[in-house]
Amino acid sequence: MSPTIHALRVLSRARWQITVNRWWRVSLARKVGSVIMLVFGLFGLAFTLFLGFFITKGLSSVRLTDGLAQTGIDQPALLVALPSALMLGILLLATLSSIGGAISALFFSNDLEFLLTAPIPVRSVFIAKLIESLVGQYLLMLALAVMPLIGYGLALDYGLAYFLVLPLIVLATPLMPTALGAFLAVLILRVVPPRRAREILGVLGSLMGLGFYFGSQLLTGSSGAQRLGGNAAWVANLDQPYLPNAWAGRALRGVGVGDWRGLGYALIYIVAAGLIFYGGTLVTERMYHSGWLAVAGSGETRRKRKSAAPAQTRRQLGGWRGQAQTIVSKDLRVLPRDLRNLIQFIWPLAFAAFWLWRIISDSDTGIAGRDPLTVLASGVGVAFFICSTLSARLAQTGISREGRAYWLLQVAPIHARAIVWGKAALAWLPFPIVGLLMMSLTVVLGGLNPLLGLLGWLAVAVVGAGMTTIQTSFGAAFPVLDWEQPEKMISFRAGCLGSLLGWSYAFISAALIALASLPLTLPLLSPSTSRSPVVWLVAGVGLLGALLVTGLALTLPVRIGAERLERLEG
Amino acid sequence: MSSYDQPLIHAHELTKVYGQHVAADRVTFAVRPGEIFGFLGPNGAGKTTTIKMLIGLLRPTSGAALIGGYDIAREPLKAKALIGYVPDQPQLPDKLTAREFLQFVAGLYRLDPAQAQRRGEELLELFSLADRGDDLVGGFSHGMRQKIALSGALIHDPKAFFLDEPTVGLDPRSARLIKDILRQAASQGTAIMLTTHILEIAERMCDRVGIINGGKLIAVGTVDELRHGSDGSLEDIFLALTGGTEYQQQLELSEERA
Ligand SMILES: Nc1ncnc2c1ncn2[C@@H]1O[C@H](COP(=O)(O)OP(=O)(O)OP(=O)(O)O)[C@@H](O)[C@H]1O
Ligand SMILES: [Mg+2]
Repeated sequence: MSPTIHALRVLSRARWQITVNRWWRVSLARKVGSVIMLVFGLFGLAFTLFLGFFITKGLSSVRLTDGLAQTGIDQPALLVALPSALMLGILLLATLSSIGGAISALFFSNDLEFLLTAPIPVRSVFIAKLIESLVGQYLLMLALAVMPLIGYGLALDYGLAYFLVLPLIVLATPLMPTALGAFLAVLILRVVPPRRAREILGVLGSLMGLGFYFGSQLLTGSSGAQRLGGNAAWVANLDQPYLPNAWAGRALRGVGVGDWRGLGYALIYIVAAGLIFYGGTLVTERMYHSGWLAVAGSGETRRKRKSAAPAQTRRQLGGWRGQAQTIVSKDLRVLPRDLRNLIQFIWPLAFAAFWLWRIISDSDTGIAGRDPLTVLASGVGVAFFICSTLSARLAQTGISREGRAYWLLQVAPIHARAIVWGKAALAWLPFPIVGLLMMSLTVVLGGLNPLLGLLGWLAVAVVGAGMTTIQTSFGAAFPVLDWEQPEKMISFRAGCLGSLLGWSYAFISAALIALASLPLTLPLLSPSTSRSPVVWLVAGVGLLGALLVTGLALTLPVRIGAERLERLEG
Repeated sequence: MSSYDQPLIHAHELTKVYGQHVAADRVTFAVRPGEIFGFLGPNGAGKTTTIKMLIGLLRPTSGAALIGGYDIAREPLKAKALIGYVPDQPQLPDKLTAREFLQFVAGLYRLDPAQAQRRGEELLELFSLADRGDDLVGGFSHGMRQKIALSGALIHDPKAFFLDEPTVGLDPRSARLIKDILRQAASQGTAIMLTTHILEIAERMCDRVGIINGGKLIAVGTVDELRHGSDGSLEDIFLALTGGTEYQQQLELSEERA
């Protein structure tokens, strides 16, 4: 047995044992959690299967065929091109994700030093890492490719051959992106230090996602038949014989309809994938092995020393408020230093810009000239939504962001409640700040009464405070302190409970606040309505209720979170 | 008994059980103000576990930890205000600079900012890190982090100071510096508890040592007391108490086989 193969077997077995231990040598609660997650995952898979099925069914329905024919869309061509288009999307996505995956695996795994100093061929370490990332890719493929394509086959009544060739195609698919991704990763690292590269890639990935999303929004936005026709033609265009994704698509289509050329395409695709994987890894491994990379420093930059004045002028802060403030200012300092943290804000900010643009410019969705109640409601709604997307991650990762350095807070003489409050205060900031901006725009562009605008802003800030506190608290109750990648900072329980309870609270309190504001909003509906005592009564009840639930939201979850934090061992 | 003699660190029957495994078994000892207490024992004996129970990072299965008379479980804030801790693997916030880190710690311990800043500069100067003070801690070497963690602990003048293997990874000059710093702190009335595998440190620095093995504290006293008048080195005592050198037979056996 060659040393490479031997080492590969040893490494794979260790990996397998780690995976098994991670699932089984844990507490019962975690096992139950895993099972629940598995069930959710299966539902998700079923969902993508149905999605594939119904889209295909819809596109092949007779009525649509007639309708589309009038718009000049070549409907059969579109249907044929679907698998190719899907494969292209998957190949691109997989390539991008495997660049990041390769950088993480080849430079940041914490077992790397150990492995590279062990007397095993570097090649086997390299390949073992690639295989690890392949496994991840296959899981992705299961959701994105296998299920929708099964749905596609079922919708078109394809025969057994289709369902036999499908797994082969799927098995071959991640090979190309993985090899390509590793190659590109090594190329990139030739010029950029790994740490920076990983951050930059994250940002790029996010931007690309944004591009896709808003591109598709703009394309389908007003859904004119003309534009739709353009889209269909564009999708059909992806089915070019020289593109690998089209080989896969044509193979599937071919075996589905009983065309023998399908098998030919399948063969070409699989062989090409194998060759590219083999050649690509060979070249990349040489580059990795020969130290061709600039194994640059950690990429930490030296910071210019700012004047020490703020530290001196700041007066001594008393009590736990001062400590909470210390945590807030530390977080404000640290957040912008990691590009990966900033990524989290790109999406909501882009959403904000997009919505604003629609509100201002679009005659269909714009608010200008609407009745004041609609303007108020949509202004408050959009403001709250954007603020909450900005704040949610900050809130849920509050404690987890400290990571392995959390012991510092644990040994410090600081009450766990102060920690939670500090984290919540920081995550709340988007509500008053961005909320003010959004409501000002609503007032200026929508011609809303400034007083109503002010009240709307207050409502956003208050409900935001309750929601942020709930999410921060559950993030604190179920923190993840041993994360390596920032995507893994939110535990399943924290995410679920926080979002569920947070949004429940938001809806309830919003409804109560709507009741409380009836005396102000009723005259907007019809100026003639008189404010009867009943209206005042309802408003009073609404106000009391809103105060009560908000009071509860601000105190009870913090207690739970702090209590669990205090019991945390480390 | 005068208040000066009240122990600052008091472990009372501290016990920690992990599943079936007893990591610390009714560990009891006290460290008085101005005293340096060395905690020795083989790997996995329960040294880190005991320290973590004393400072509140682990909850004891039973027993109590008192710092300056405050039970860490009942009055954690009062107890923690007295504690300084330097872990064996100092994990620090990577994206703070060394100076910002010290400022952060000062805020957590509610120090006067101006004073804290002066003290921070002194400490950076002392550890020869002043010119790296504006670099991110994430880019520091193990020893440099250790020094930053030490500075963070020293900045608030702890009354009960816990160090887990403080000299591991430090250059000789810095290791010497730490010894001097600890001695100075002790002379000002700080109670110090440190774990170490370097018996020479224990012998020369510590007023008293405790030896723990398999979770049980098997001997406490000054090095002279442990010697019982014999002239063996601390190494001999340590080996005799913790199960010594039976491995020599195994070594010889495996040599024969080879
Ligand atoms: N989280 C944990 N879960 C289970 N067992 C643990 C845990 N932490 C420590 N132990 C066990 O407790 C025992 C004592 O560990 P501890 O870290 O206190 O040893 P130590 O004396 O500090 O050793 P070293 O000299 O190697 O630092 C060991 O047997 C270890 O396996
Ligand atoms: Mg230890």
